[in-house]
Amino acid sequence: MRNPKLLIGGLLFLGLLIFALAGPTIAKSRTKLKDPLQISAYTPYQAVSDEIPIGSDQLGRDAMAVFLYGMRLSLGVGFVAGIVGTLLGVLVGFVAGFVGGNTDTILRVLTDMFLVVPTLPLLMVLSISVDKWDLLTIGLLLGLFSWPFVARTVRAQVFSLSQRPFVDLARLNNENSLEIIVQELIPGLLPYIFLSVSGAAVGAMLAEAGLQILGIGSGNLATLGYLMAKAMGAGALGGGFAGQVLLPAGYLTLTFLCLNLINMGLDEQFNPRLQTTAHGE
Amino acid sequence: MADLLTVTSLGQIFGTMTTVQAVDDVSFTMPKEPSIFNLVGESGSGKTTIARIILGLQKPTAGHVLYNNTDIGSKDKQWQTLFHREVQAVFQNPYSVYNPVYKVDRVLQTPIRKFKLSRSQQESREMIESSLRAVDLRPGDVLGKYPHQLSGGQRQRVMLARIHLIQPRLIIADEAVSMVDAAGRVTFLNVLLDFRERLNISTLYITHDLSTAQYLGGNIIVLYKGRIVEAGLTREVTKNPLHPYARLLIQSIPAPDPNKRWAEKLPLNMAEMSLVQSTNRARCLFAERCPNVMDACWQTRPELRKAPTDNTHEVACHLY
Amino acid sequence: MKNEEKPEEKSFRSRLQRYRPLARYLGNRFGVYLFTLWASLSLAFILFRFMPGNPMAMSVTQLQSNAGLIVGADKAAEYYREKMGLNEPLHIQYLKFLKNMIFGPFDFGHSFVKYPTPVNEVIGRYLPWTLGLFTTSVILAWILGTAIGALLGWMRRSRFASWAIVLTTLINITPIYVLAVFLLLGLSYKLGWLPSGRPYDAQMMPSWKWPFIKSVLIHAILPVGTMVLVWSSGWILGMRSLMVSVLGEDYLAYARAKGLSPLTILKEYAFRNALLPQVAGLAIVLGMSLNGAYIIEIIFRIPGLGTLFANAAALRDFNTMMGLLVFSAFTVLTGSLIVDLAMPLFDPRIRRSDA
Repeated sequence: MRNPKLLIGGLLFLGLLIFALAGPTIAKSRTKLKDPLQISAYTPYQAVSDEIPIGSDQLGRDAMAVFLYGMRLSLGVGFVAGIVGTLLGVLVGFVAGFVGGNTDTILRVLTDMFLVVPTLPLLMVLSISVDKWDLLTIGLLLGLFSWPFVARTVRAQVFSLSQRPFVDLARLNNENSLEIIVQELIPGLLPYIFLSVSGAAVGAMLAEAGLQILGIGSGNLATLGYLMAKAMGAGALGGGFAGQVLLPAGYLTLTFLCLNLINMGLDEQFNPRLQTTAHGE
Repeated sequence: MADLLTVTSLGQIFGTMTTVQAVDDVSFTMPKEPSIFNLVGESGSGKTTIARIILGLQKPTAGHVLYNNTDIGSKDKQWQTLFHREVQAVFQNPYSVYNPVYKVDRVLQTPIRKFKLSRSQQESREMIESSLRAVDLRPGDVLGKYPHQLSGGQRQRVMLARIHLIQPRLIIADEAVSMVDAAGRVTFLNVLLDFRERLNISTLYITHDLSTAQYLGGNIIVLYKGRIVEAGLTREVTKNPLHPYARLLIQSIPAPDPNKRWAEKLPLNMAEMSLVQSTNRARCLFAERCPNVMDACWQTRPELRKAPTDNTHEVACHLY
Repeated sequence: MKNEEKPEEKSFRSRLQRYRPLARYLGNRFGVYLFTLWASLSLAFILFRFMPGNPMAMSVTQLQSNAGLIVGADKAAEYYREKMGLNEPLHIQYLKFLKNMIFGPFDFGHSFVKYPTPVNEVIGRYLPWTLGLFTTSVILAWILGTAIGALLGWMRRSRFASWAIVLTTLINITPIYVLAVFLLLGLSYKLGWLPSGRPYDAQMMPSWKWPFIKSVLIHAILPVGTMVLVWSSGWILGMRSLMVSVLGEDYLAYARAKGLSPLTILKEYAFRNALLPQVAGLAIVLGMSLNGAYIIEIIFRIPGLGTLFANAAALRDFNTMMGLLVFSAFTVLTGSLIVDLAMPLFDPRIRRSDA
């Protein structure tokens, strides 16, 4: 961990993660209510006070409590989507890059198709047909749309790695395809796989908030995007409730910043070595 | 007596829409006795493709390769292990043949493990060290290092140590010295000669550089655009080249004498080549560059025949 | 020599030969375009038939139960059942759907909410806003981003450039809606410099007269500015790193050694070579940009397709949603086809073979 970007990004992200996990506890400790998320504890959009530092939301809940609970949910959506998207993408990318030939052509056209077609409209249509709007469903749904990016990077990497002479050498050592994949290809791919998880997670969190802003979403899953979207819809920016937008927006942006820093750090740390090998060609 | 390696009418076509015939009806045999065969040709002549086919890394579109009278495409697992044990390679690029995530030691340990060459940790350690010494490397200099910490010459010699460790019957050395400096080159060639004398290892040495082939001696096969144009003893072919292309190659070896410049402008005429012509292969493919071109050269493909001068010498040219 | 005997015929043939790669490239791209379009249409069809709860059938029942609440809902339901032939076998439904798409063209039936206006007419009403703002922003962002990126790449060793890159990276990471919120809050609510919250002055009637156009333009500054800021940051970063790598190539060292002026090197050598991936990237980025544009429309209350989509989704107007889904895909695919077809203008390797 000599890379400063990796270090700063990682530490900061750890902090954000702990804050998100501790959110509900903090919310409970700073209110007299039994349930910090109690509906109609206040009048909807009640003015900011010491008790409710960013006001109340459209259901009369303490918006700060919604925020404190929401961080966990937003990260959770990103996490589920990141894992699902990465698994799918790595699978598609691996098969395409390693098998090659017609399989590769078909998978590449498919990937490009999903890359080019605007996904938000598709997501909107799909998500209004979802009857249970919960973390797992939404994460899964968003993950289904984040694989093309992963597949593209993984395919390119697998393709370039499997053309390297060290794979030929492995074959001369009488290694079978499974040994080659596990021993020769995966280790070089690990940073890219991690990169994909965080990339897909960022994409999913962005899209989730986007869906909320487009008015699709439900109070069942009161993520940061939900809080932001509802407040914006109620004219919070001009009406003295800017905190309900700025706080979640700030948290999301900071999270993206950290993940991007980690990604940049990983790239810097692992790319040069791959480049020195490619240099001889 | 059966031969070590028999290559019969090998052909390889690449591409589906626009096809390239990389290898076209190539046949040759290497005897059981330890020998060195040089496969010489310019880039695009199909040498590397032939090497990959012989190593089993690629399936040819025509013809077959027999090793000890068994087709190398054999599905028998045991035979495949034996084949890989006995036919090994040294590749052109001493950089990318190493997986950058592992230490150098691994390329020596894996064959010991896969081919079950030793019975104990201690024994494999000794084997690795003696193999490294056999190629003039000090074990301490290379073991425990990552590939990018070694020089190109060192890395290529570790590859030779790997060969020494496995002790195969046949080495396919594909452009193995083209990315190594002059001193490393001589060491490398000497090791190959040494392997033949002391360990009875044959070598198929593939190169574009005729001077290194001359140094190794043995037999030579000259390729042009996927076809064999001339074959014979290296000494005989370099002294008395028959095919106009072979003559051209021999002329282009720089003599180490400052007063001896390349005598004449080489009769290369690349501009005459065009797409339309290269699709027609029922002719001599060297016709457009040949100084002795005749009508027959454009109409029929010359077969590989015994040369009039010497019966170990073969040539594919309408002049003879 | 043989081949010099008929020089004219040969040069004609070889000239034809030269353009074969170009023809193959264009053919290939167009084929993929048609295939992707067909696949998107089919996906839309499948989505609306097989979604849990079958929204098509559901909407009919929903409409019938809503009869009286929404004007013409019962009629719409009846028309709909007949038109879409929900009782017919699936493959017939599919073929009819394709027929309506191709020969309609883009006939999605009537909007439920705005009955009896056909969906494509409703889309037509909202389209100019999206097309105007989105296209302007995409093109402006690309031009600005490429130019600034080239400049930053050229002065890669200056301190100013490295700070500019840090700032650009920050903007690039920020989600588009967050940036929109910040700009809105700062420039509109706090400082009051720019109007917001509507596409033009509330007192005005849409017309082609100057005061109205001026009002639209002023109101467009914030949304367009947001999109340009975010999207150009991506182009800046891409172009800069391309420039930096191109500037390290041998042929640039050669160009410098030849004594060419820095401006010539920048224009003819570095810029031209770095430009290619930028153009190619434009084709890929369109879809993602449209996603952002829809969100921007909601935040700035612009009556474009994004707003229409949100409204249709809220009211479960499936015909309109399907129309928008297909139309979004069509717009983006056609846009990226145009970019791809223009690629040969920038890349001589596609234009002709060197053989």
